[in-house]
Amino acid sequence: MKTTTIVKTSFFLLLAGGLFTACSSDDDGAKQTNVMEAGKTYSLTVTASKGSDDAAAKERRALTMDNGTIRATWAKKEQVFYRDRDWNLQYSGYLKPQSEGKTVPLNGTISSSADLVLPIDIKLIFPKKDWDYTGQVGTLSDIAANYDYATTTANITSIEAYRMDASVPVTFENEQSIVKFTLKDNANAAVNVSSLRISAKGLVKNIDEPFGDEEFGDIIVTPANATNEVFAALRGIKNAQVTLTATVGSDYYIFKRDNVTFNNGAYKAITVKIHKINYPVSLAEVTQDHIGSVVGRNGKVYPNASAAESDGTVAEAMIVYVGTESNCTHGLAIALNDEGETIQDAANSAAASHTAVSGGTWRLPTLTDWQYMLIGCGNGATYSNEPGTVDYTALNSKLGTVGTALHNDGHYWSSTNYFCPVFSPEGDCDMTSFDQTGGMLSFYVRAVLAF
Amino acid sequence: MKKANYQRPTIRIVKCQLQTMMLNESQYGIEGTREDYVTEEEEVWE
Repeated sequence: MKTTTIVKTSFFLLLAGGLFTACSSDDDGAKQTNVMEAGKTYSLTVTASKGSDDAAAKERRALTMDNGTIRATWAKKEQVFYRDRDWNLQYSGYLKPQSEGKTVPLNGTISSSADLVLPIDIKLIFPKKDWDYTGQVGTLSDIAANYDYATTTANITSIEAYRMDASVPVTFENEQSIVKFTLKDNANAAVNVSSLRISAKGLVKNIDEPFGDEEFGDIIVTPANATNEVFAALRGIKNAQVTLTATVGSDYYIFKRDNVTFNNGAYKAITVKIHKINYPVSLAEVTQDHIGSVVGRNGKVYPNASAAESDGTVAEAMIVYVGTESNCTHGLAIALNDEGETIQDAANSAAASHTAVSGGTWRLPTLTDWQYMLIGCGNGATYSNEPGTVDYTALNSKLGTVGTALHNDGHYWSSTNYFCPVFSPEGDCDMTSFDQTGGMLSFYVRAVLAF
Repeated sequence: MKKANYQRPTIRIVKCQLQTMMLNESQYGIEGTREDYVTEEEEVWE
């Protein structure tokens, strides 16, 4: 009892102190200022409780299909986050819609890790702070909750009593396209897929804040149950070849489409007549459908390394080009791993001595081989006698599906004079690089299988 | 002196909460607008 009295007394003393200081004229934020102080918490609007959200609002999603149109509104359960300004300045806190509808108040708190002088532009992102398109399950509700990224910038002009005012209203821009794929075979029957891999040059997997660096790669949509209707949130596809690869039971289906653009902020419904890929086939039987498939030591082509192992062989290469343009009979396959780093003379022999594959010949890639390996994987380029800088993300993302990749921080040898293509973290391959020491520098070696 | 400096943030927090509660919800803050997705023409890929 005595303890309770002391606690109560302390509380009221503290409350009284708080009221006193709140009404005082000290300079801790009670007057208007143009500095946002590091580590202080500011309210962007009122944070007084409005009671718990009703159950219906919690379940409601911000995206709804309305007669073929995707409507976007705010739901109470959602959160809007602050995008950090740079590595040395992070914001914390978040905003929440206070009602439902197209234009609503967003309330919450914000604090900064460093002092800022007003006015400041604060970038906002919704529905998550980590901008990531991986892990989709193919439903509109999943996109609404996790992948319906929208951004805007709020201009903060004044701070008074730890309250910040922003220019109003702000409009959030949708940062991706939403595509509904309806998958059918040529007889117009539903093809129910357990996974759908979407591959294309420029397809964004995630965006590394705060500078907006984009990581490219395939998006794999994995529905909870096999279905022929798959929604996907996709960003970055512009005038690119799109490859859809589906798992249907134990079979694999594919469809390729050139010159595809998906506009951010747009919704498109596409019916795709997808067809089955034949496995296993010999190297002489490969078609464009097999690009990205693996080659076993036995010279057969499989959907992946585990399928090769199940057939008693070991995956050694991945089909990257089908055609005859690069001194080959049927195409080219790239080794799954490097042969190390060597000078050019040693590189030639290292590549040629890669573990033998029936029906093919290993060699150090010529500059022409490198070009066709990248073109075959859909980088959108065409062959040139004087190649410049081209995209290699399509090749690397395909290599990623078999658990490997090219080094993105250095040179790879070609056997053409002393050209040594440079692969950069940004996804560019500079084919103009030339070793002026006459092949005496050590660069990465990746063998190519001509068949 | 050190003790006084240490206690000061505690008082600030109380003050900040009280000030926040006194704000007028309708006058301040951000209004956020969502835009619908633009429906593009349906396609058949075959």
